[in-house]
Amino acid sequence: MIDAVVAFFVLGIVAQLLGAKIPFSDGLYKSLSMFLMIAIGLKGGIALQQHVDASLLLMSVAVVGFGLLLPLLAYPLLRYFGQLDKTNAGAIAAHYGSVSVATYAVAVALLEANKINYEAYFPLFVVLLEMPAIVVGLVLAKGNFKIINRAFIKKELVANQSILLMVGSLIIGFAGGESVQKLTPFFVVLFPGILALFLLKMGLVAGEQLGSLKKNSVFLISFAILMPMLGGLAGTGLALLLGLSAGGIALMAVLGASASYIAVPAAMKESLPEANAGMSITASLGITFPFNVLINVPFFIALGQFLGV
Amino acid sequence: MTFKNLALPFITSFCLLAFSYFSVQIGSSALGFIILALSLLVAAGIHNFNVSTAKEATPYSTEVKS
Repeated sequence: MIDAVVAFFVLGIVAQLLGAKIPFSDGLYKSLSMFLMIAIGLKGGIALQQHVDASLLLMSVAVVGFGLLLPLLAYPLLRYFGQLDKTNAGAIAAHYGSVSVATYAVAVALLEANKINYEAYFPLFVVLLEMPAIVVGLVLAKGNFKIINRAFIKKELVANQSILLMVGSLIIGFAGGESVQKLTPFFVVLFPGILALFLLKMGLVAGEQLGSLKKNSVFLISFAILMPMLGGLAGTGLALLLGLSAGGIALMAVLGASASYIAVPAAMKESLPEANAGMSITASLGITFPFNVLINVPFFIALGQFLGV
Repeated sequence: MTFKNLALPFITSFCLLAFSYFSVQIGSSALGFIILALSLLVAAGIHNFNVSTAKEATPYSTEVKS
């Protein structure tokens, strides 16, 4: 049976396809995504208080390596089968190498609803996976490393909205001690309800993207479904190598399977304006996100339970 | 339609069917994977048909106009 939180996503798609006008301002959408980032970071920070050790550093290095690898997996598929130019292939590869915080939030909600344990430091991995794919995607698109300069690092790494919010909340959750508990009724208890509201909006957006799919998009649909399966399998392999729990295997697979539609489009718009932004966002938000939320995430949770201890 | 255009829908459909098989093995629902695989194969087939008929129709229409 479909999870109640995920059902709101389906409701959003149905409402959009039926042409129902559900008023949902951009400001509310941005506020909800901000809430999710802060809540995930805060929960991770609180959990990190009990889990800081040397092995975490080693795992973090492996996760960054994973983030560098994913766009390298996507790029040849886009170039060879899609016959896309370097710019568009690099831009789409960056989207698929980075992560979707909303997909991660859905996976966490499903794990918690099914009482499956996972490593509490995962928000750290979400943050670590945001950036490497952007760098690799840009290098693939430009064919050189010149674009990775000080201004780029300052803008995309230090002043990146999602990274800043999640790292900041992670630090507050970690260093806040007892005082952080005052925030948990809002950021932890209300999390599933606010996620449901966010998914309703995402359903509306995904429904809109599905409507804009042109006839000549069999390749894009195929890629946007194949890549999360391959990324999910790669994530599962990494999680097994790192010896993660059942929930940890599922979450690493979900991080590998998800595609960014907030951080990367903003970075690409700035650094690669000649790339077709519509194609990337249709693939990541219109196809991959619904596929992940409705089909792929439940599969990888079941796979995690099957493989994990 | 070239091999390159058709190859990815077929590879994806094959992977979806493989995932549906594993879903059954691990006790998860395979329905979504199967529906997607079949839909993708049908979409690729229709697309291929449309492209090939459009190509065949082009010389005729050019001839009539000239």
